[in-house]
Amino acid sequence: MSVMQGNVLSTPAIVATATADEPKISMIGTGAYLIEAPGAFDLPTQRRIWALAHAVEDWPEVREVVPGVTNLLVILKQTPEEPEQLHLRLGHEWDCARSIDLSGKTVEIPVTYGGDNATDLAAICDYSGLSDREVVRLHWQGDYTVVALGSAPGFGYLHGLDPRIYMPRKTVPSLRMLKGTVTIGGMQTGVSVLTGPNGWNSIGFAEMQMFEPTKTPPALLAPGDRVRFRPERIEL
Amino acid sequence: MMKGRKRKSGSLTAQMLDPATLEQIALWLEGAGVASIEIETEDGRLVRIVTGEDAALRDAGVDPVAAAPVEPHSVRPAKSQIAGHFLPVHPARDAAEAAIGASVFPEQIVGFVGIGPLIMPIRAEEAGTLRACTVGPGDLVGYGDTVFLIEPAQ
Amino acid sequence: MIEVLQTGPLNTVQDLGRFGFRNAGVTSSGAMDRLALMVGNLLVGNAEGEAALEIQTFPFRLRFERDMAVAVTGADCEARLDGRRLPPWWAMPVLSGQVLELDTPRRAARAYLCLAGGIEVEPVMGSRSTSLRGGFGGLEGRFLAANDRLPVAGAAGPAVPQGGFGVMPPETALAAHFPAPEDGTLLVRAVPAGEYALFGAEAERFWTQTWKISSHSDRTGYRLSGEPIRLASPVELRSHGVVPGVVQMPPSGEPIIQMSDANTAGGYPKMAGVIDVDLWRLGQARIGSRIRFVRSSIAEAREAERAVRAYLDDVRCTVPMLAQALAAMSRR
Repeated sequence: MSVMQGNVLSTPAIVATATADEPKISMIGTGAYLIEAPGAFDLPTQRRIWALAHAVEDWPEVREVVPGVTNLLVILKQTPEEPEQLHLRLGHEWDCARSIDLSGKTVEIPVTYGGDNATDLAAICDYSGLSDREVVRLHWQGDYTVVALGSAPGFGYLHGLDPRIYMPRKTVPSLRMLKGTVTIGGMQTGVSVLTGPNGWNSIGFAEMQMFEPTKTPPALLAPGDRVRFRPERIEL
Repeated sequence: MMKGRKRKSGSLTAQMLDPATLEQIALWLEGAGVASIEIETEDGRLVRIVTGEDAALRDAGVDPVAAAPVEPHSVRPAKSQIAGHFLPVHPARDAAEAAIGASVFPEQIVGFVGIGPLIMPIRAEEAGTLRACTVGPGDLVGYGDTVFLIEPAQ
Repeated sequence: MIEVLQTGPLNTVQDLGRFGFRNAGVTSSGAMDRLALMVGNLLVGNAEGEAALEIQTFPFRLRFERDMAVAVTGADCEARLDGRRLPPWWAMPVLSGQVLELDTPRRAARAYLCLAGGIEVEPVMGSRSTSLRGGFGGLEGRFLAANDRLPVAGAAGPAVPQGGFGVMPPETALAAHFPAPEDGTLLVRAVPAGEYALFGAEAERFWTQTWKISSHSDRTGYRLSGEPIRLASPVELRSHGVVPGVVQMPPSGEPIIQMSDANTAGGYPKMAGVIDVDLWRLGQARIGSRIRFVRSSIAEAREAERAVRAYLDDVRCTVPMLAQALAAMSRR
């Protein structure tokens, strides 16, 4: 997902169509509503999305809710009888939603920075004008928040990257990036959970299992969790 | 082979001797490109049904509905196992499971009966040649009704 | 047990899907033609959501290792049991040692093999569906291979009639509630989605033109080819949840329809969403075939859903009645 790249955030074309505090509410097909918060991305808005998710997930007609980056997908059990009514109720719920701080856990992820799996570190140095040592230091010194899970099982979009090491997604993705690769995509960072094509920039590797299908819950991370990266080894 | 059958709609013999039925069977045969068939009735007679196009037989002076002594190459019925509407072709297919004139083997499905949302097979009882269909598409058939006539293999 | 003797790639165990974990990035998976799966299960006396085999590459051959009842629904694969042809949408008892073969269908894309009792692989996150991308669910999270053996649970329902029986295919039984194909083009009903208005007058061409399902299509999604429809200035949205049926417009201007293995998140502008009740038909659309989108409404979707529900209820009620009637007649 390249959606968090700087240029997108500075020109939020879609969100701009909504007035100051009005969310944009739309349907996807017959069984899902997407509520998109107005304004720029920030953590208070994200916290309000979490509050909305919390309020709506227990509605009898709701099957599941999927928080995204300043938006919420509400999936219904069946096609609504009164779609406009539900639209209004969701809007009202947003109005009532107050920013909540999810009292998430703190997860420390040991990382091997550099080495064979950091194939994009040099490109980040070029882009940022920083040394590899500086890039790595800025990454592990960061204090990150899990904004949302998505894209692949257990993948957490982490917010809190130092702006000096923002790095646009690659135009040509790596075809076979290993599961566990520590990556930067735009203004976000994360640990890949599947081996396969990936457009984010690799800077290291983490052994920690981010997703185990048979565990409850299967995903290590949850929205609101804090993440710290601990440099176990630095191979530069 | 027609003994002891429970039927809703009277015996095959009575139906066979009904000129309207015979005419209809002849029309189906013609539509299926079959010249003639012979049907053994309960009282041991053989009825031969000849289509309008079979000039050779007509010229030879054979009565289109002729009664004759029983002969070994008589036809056998394929019956409906249940009451419902006759489906000559499966609704998901373009063609019948077996065309008139085709060889069939024992237990082969030759047609279907629709009962509400479900479909029951009509099967050939023995090997032979599928000679005629005696029921129209969508017609109501009863349990044990003859739907196809099969000429057994020698 | 059943044993796979021959299979192409990408044939998997599927049920109705895995729900409740989308917020952890877990796709729902599940049968591409949910209706065929439900009908097949009902024919063999199962609950409609039991796990079955979804066969989409052929030829496929399988041996039954004990007596059981099975149903083959969905695409007509000229199924044969020990060499004898079976009609499509058919259920029957099979004997230990018998071999079922499925060939490439001429129409439609996917066949479903349902077994009385259901395929008894371990559920993962509440579902037996295979997630190929995630590598879990179904048989070890992968597609079937020759010599695979799959456990089948004991049957709970009534016995399937000896001579076998079938069901009116949904395309026939529900013909009044789904638009008929036009010149071989499948009509897919959809409602406009979030970014529809951004396309302005261009959006009209989304409905009027015929799109071809490209070869880059699979259970994850269908890529369509046709005259591109692009935004005057491209937008990228923040990552948001999506559902199967969403029609996205990537920068290329050629739509992508997300299907059963749809990614949980997306960022492309959304032109439309296929109405849920039409997804089973799309799931049977073949690569290279043509589709056209027809603008629909929630009310129309609900009407079709009621018809589908009535059809399934009818099948569920009639199957045991038929079994009883046949049993009574055989005693005469």
